[in-house]
Amino acid sequence: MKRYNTFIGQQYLKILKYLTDKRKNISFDYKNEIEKYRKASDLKTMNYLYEVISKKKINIDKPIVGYFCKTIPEEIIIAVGATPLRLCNQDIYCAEIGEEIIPGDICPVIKAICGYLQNDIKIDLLVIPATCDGKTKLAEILTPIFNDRIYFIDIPRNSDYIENIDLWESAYLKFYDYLKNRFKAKPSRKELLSVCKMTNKRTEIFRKIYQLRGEKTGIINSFDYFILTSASFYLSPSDWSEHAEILYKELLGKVVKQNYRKRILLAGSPIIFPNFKILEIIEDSNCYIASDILCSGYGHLFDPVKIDEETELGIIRALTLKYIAPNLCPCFLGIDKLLNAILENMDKYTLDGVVYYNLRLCNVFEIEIPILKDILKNKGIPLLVLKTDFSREDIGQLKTRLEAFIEMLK
Amino acid sequence: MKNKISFIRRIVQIVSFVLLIYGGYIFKTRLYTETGEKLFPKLKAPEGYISTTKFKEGSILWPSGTNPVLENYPPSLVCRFAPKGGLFKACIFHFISENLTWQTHIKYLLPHFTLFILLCFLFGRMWCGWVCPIGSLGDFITSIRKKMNIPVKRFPDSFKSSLRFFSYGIMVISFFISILIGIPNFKRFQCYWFLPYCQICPARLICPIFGLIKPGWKDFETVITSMFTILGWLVMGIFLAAFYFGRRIWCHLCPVGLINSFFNKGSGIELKKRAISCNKCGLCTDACPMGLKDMYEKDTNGIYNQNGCIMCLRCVEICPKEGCLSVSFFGKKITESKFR
Amino acid sequence: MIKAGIDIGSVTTKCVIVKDGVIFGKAITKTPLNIEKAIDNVLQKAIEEAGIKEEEIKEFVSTGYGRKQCKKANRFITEISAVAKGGHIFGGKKSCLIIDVGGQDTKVVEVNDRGLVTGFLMNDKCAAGTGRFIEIMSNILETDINGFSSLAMSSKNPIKINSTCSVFAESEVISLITSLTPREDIAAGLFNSIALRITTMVRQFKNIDRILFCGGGAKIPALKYYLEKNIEKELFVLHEPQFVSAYGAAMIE
Repeated sequence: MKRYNTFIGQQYLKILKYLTDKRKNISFDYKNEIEKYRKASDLKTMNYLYEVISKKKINIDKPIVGYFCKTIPEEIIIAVGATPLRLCNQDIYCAEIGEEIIPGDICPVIKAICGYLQNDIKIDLLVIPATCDGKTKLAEILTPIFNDRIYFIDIPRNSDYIENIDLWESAYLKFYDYLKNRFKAKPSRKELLSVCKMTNKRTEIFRKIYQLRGEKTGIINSFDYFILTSASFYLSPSDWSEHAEILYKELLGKVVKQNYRKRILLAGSPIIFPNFKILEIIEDSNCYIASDILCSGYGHLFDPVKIDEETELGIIRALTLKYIAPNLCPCFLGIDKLLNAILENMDKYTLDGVVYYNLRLCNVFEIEIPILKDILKNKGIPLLVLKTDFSREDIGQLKTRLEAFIEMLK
Repeated sequence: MKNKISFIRRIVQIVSFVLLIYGGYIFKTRLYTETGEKLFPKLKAPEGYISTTKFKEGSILWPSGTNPVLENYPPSLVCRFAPKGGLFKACIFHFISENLTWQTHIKYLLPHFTLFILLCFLFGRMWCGWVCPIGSLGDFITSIRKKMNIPVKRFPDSFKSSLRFFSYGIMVISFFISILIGIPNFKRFQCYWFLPYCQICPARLICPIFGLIKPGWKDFETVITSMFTILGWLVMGIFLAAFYFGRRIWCHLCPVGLINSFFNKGSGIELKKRAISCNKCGLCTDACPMGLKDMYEKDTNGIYNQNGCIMCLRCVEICPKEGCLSVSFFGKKITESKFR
Repeated sequence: MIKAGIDIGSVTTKCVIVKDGVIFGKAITKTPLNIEKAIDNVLQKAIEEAGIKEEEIKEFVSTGYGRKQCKKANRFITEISAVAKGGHIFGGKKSCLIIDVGGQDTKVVEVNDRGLVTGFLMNDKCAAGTGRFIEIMSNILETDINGFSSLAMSSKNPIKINSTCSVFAESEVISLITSLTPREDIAAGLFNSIALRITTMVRQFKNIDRILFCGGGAKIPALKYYLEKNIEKELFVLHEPQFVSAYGAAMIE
């Protein structure tokens, strides 16, 4: 893999040295937050998942392939004998460190990723997709640390199947060949299929929980739910589905007590631990997130691999149809999918309104808001846009907006 | 069960393959009773006209048996050349060509046509996907390719529509020839140009081969018969290659399928899409053996019985969104897409 | 039935006492750091004016950004619902758009003919386009708000001011003063820039036939003038604009 830029590297390494000293004083474990959310939880089986989140438990026996975004096929990473680790991060402290590396009006998630990668996790390969602008440039920014351990996947931004399926297929194939060379592995078709089966199992159990959450108000609070989805970044698909299965059993036996005022659909930017500010606001206003279509949970876990032809190419093709074609990310062309997802959820779970979380400076999300507003207004679906960043100073204002929205729904 | 629809379809295909090819062996006596004869009159060549029974062994149009078990013409490729006369008389294409030459009176044709239209009205082109024996054979060839880990060859839309155009051409030309040789002045061409499409149809070779009977595969008596023999081999080769590389690409060319496809819209079997459930993953199009795209492209609720659709229901089976695609029979839902 | 509505805004705290839909007493005071004191203070004044006893008040509704601090209140509603209710009743019970320019935030609320909120917008977390911005700018031009307004009204040639951020606008204004631009024109430019910002919010609503204007900002004639100029529609300034949300809170069922 070629090094993207070496000149910036020299400057960058200097900052890095300074930062490693600085980082020693900052605690990354978020004990207070975890304690707070754990107290709000009334599920016993969540304890393990909170632990996973707080300790960032990763299987380090195998080489680790870090990646961003939901467009990277986990299945082929597992098949070549590596551990996939989704590095999407919304750590406030990491974002502060990232600020020193890439100052300016840049998406805080990108900053947080930059800051996070100073961590001591040993990452053997970093896979970066060209989805949004920030991620595209990350390959250059991170070159000084990762040198040749970066793989860049170019993904065409039109998510129309007919237009771009061949391009996706070739991009994934190239990635697959690269991984095979790098990890000296030659997975057979059967191995690939068994990995797909494993992730499908995860999808199955996730769908069950997703449906139960939509049908029964108050069955799982939003902290627990997002901890559950965030845990899927760290745990292997089989481990995750094992714990989710236990959780599902507990949920089935649970007696629901809480009285929520409204049932809403959460859409927009991803929510990853520890940035649960929006969830806190929604829980405080006694709103129940009955459904969500965020890429951190729904996007990551909802779509299965459906293989039509069990040839090697057929499996790769099926993966692109899992990861790219149904992607709701506004990076891609095709707002009709997002609308379908919103309308279907509204219809299926009889929800009261849509809350659209817009992370400030994540421009792709902001850009689709006017279109979305217009269409949803015509359909008679109330929509509230909450635009904010990681900082906590505007909680009061956001709460006022949300409460006014709830009063409007009555 | 994961692939329930495919499994049922496979069974139906095997059963109908056995019945249609080996029907002549299985049923020792004719099931064609007197009342049956009244209902579906036996169609015979008039005096001085040629019929398949008059061809001798080894020639192109030689049928191994003259009396089929049932004297009917269902909408799938039920071949005249199946051993011992077969279960049914012949396919609809044979029926039309033959009677155009014979100039049979319409009142004898009407009962057979009515049955054909009724069957098509009930199931549309489902006959192609579920019953047609050479389609089943093709699916078997496709599954060999899958085992060999060779990816499918996908053809552009323009190619498919040109195949359909070609199929129209075959139909029009063969019917035209059939009418022409029925005119007394051209009677002498009858023995060479009778049933022109049947002479090159791959089923003419496949049905006897699988029925363990020697087909008329090397008839070089005259220039015209040798031309048809060579053309038959060629079409056979195209047929095998088409199924090996391109799934059901052949079915775009098949003129029998073309006739069936006229009844696809408005048939009892309905493929429905619930537009808001669609996540636009493209799996329905990707898995479609005919490579049809309407199901993916269109964003409205409704019935999606396209002309090319052979109702294999693979799209319904593979769709990962619950309740997005569904099949119904006269408005009654039979099954719908589900995850698992 | 006697009801009290109290609106704890960022700059002023307002209280209204309502008997069967009619205002009996009202009071206004600056919101100090100690909110509870202000509440007591303003409530006493309003009760005095109404000439009733505190025990007679059946329902006590609080609104505004400090609404949760009001311990006496038995109901809390957001200022958006309150201003919608109040504006709807004051404005003749028709569907309308209400612009509320307050101290800390500016709201545009769309109300249907039954008085229900069908959509709303609030300004971002910065002070641009709010009463606070006007206050700061009048300080820079060394007048009070009334003087600032009349300055702006007397301008014949308003200049264009690009910045609506209070911090950057300040430096822009100072540089304009040093380049000897007339104060009237600067004041007019500032009002125009605020009005433009509010106009973009208004433009996001389809139904803008009937626009009501309330909040502290409605007392400034220059703001109304420039808003009308930008929106190209007549604004109806409500009676007692500052008390609209307090009244709306009291009137909520």
